[in-house]
Amino acid sequence: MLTVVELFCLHRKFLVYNLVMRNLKVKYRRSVLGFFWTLLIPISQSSIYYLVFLKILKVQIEHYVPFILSGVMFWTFFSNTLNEGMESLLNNSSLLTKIPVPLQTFPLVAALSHGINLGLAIPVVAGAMALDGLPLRPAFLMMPLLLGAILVISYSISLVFSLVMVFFRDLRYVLALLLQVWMYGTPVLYNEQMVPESFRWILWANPIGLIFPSIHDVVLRGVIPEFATLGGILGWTIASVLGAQWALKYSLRKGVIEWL
Amino acid sequence: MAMTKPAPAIELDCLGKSFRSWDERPHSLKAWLINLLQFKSGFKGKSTTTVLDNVSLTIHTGEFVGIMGPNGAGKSTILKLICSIYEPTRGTVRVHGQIAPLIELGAGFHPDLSGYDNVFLNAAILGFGRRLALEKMPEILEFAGLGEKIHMPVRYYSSGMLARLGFSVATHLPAPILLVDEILAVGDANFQAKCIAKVRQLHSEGRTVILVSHDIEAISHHCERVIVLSRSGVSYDGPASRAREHYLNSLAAPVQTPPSSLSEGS
Repeated sequence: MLTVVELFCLHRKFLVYNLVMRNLKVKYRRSVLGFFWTLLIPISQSSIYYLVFLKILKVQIEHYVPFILSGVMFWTFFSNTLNEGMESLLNNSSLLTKIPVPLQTFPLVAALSHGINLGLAIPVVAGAMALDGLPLRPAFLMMPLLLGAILVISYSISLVFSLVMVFFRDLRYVLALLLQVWMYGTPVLYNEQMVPESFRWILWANPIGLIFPSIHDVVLRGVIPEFATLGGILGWTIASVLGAQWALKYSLRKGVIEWL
Repeated sequence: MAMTKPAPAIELDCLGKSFRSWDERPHSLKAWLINLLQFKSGFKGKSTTTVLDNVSLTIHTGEFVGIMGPNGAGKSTILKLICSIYEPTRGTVRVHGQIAPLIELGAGFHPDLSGYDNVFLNAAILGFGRRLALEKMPEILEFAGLGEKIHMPVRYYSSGMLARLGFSVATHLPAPILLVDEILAVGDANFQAKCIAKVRQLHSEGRTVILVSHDIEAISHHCERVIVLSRSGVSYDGPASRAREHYLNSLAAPVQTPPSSLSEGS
């Protein structure tokens, strides 16, 4: 029986810690700006959206800078984790076929490495709020919880994708397309209030669709998200863990390592 | 209790392993969908290659066992089954105690990190915990004998230095069972002698050693018991002194080639 402990590699904490440290050290070594390089991409993306959507298309969203910055940071985390996580089994196949290592370690390490970057980006969001005249309310303490939820969901989805990729290698093109559609089905560039009532179900059907309205609640309005929304996020978190657990168990039974 | 046989370390019972032929696997969504449209099941390949069939043997604690056999006889497969990297197709594998895999030296080394950082990384991959890694660190560094170079990124290491570092980490894992696969072929004669001396020392401390090699001289010199694999089974299992002729026989008889699936492809 595959337990949650095994799914999150809690029995191999030292391994996970060392692999995350390897990623961070390699990424930030030999660069003076260090982690600011990782921030640079979401910040420059946000600047482009600021110009295009606020100045040219003239969307009606108040406090646009903290709005777009917080959304883009979380979305960048999600897409980075998926892109790196889904390739992680194939990229580490030489290790996985020679040394007994739990294969879920690699997508987990991808999610955690990007999760640390997202954690460091949260103060940047707070800074943008201050510059825009938004007060820091206690509701902002929800941010780590939202981060935890998106971390678990992203890890679970990327684990499933990475397993499927072993069997169907051409899936990466399908997933690249899926990720693009996914972004437009998630309130990153637009506000959830802009979604017509008849389309609101899309937010509920999207595993991360409720996280972004919650970020907006916390950042723009300084309030704790509605109980139903939080329940939806919790539901998706549990569902994705169960799904990943099943997919991992099934793939191991199918001898996924032999396909690498 | 005295004089009884030592406890088993590894028990293989009617072990069999078959692989689906590579060509039969739909390695892309496109191929799988096409298979589906042609009313073939995407996953059930018809041609399989049996690498091991009905292997039953017991390796006892403290034994020094050599495994030999021609290429393709299943030496690596049997090691991967013992390490539980592969699941057996038939039969069971029972392992009593942790395994130190000396299969791929320096697994997971990152070229940009220093030797020191890579020791931690490699130790974690092999299954050390934090406390154990810290405790063993001085011994590991001393055995590797790299001096100040330990703080240099490993991309500047020679392959011999890398092997020395990897070997040092793997042999300091306090696991009762050592799996050694062909690694003694790396490094110069000096390093090889040091490695085999270390493996023998660990054996004399009571550990079980399984050595896979093509080097008949080394095997017959060091091992008490030799297992010769050929044609998906054990063709000889006994004292090292008589292993040589069985090994040479197994080389003479070619291993069955997997049934070609080319004829089935349409």
